[in-house]
Amino acid sequence: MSRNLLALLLSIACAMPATADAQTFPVDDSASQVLQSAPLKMRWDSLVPRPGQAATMSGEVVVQVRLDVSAWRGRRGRIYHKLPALPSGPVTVRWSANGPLLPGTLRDGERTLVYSGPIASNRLEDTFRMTIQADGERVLRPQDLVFSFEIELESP
Amino acid sequence: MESRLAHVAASRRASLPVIRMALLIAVLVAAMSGNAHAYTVTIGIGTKAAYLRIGDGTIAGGNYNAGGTPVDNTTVNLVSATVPAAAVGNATVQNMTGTGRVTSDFDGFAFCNAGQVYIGAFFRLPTTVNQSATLRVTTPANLTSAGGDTIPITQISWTSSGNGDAGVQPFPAGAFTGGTQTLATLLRNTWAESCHSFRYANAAIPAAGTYNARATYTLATP
Repeated sequence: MSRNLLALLLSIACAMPATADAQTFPVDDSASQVLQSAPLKMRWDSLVPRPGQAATMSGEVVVQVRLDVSAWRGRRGRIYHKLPALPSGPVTVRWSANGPLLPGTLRDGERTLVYSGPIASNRLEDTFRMTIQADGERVLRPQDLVFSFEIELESP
Repeated sequence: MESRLAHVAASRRASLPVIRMALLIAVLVAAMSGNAHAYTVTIGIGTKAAYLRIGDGTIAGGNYNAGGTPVDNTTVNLVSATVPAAAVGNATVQNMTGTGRVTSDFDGFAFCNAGQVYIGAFFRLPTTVNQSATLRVTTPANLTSAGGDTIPITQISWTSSGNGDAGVQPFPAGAFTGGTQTLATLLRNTWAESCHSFRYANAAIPAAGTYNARATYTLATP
């Protein structure tokens, strides 16, 4: 019995993401709200791009970010904003924040720190005013940008 | 009794690691399943756009490169020449004079000179494919007078230039052929502009009168 459990434990450990070593966990942001009807209207950044210049387009959106961090209350951690890599090419997101979360810049396929410190409450809330920039020649149909957050706990 | 207690203790010791591992698994499973959610922002595609100006044009809110927006302008500009009676049909080319604004709507630059006809076009598509738009012009076979006399439209030609331009013009020199003819292809995302100076070949000897024809320009995008 204990051998079976050990095998199960090992298989689960193998299935965990590499960041598990750093105690990284997804953060429930299901209460977050995008204050914009879809799809987000994008405007060309340069009306007539010069040869070789990327034909980027940008759009602005406000997101009420609400993170449920109750599971880690009393701990210290770093929270990251994530955007998976996109087949439609580079997407850059810049946002301002009112606090407690940090403003920042995020590129698809990367993550950006938005909080570092003690988790003193069950919820972290902020308003992100985001500017999303994408390659207008590669976004050929409406594109979903699926953002998420993850927390990296500091050792107690 | 002592023996049984020893057995129970041994049994508990044996099962203790199992319990710990089971708890650990429970913790890991809870951490993995998490309650992760993600908010989604759906971005739209870039807007398609086409712009064509022949002669006059209107742009609102400043020049195009400053965020201005082209506005419909239905003005039909006139290009004309008056041939002196003594010169009619002597094949001496008569320069024609156009009407209409000569500044570019891209940046306000005085791209053309008085009497020239400004031609500007632009189109934009959300694609990486090098697709081209086509500028065509359609004309009748003849210029026609009120009395029904005619002059072949092929008598009208033009040269192409632009102030400050040294290279090949995007809308090159040519002559009307009658019917629909292609003037140029235009690569996406590239503003193109030229100034046309029209000329009358004066190789025909028509009856006195005023002869008119309308040339209609069309920009066709993919």
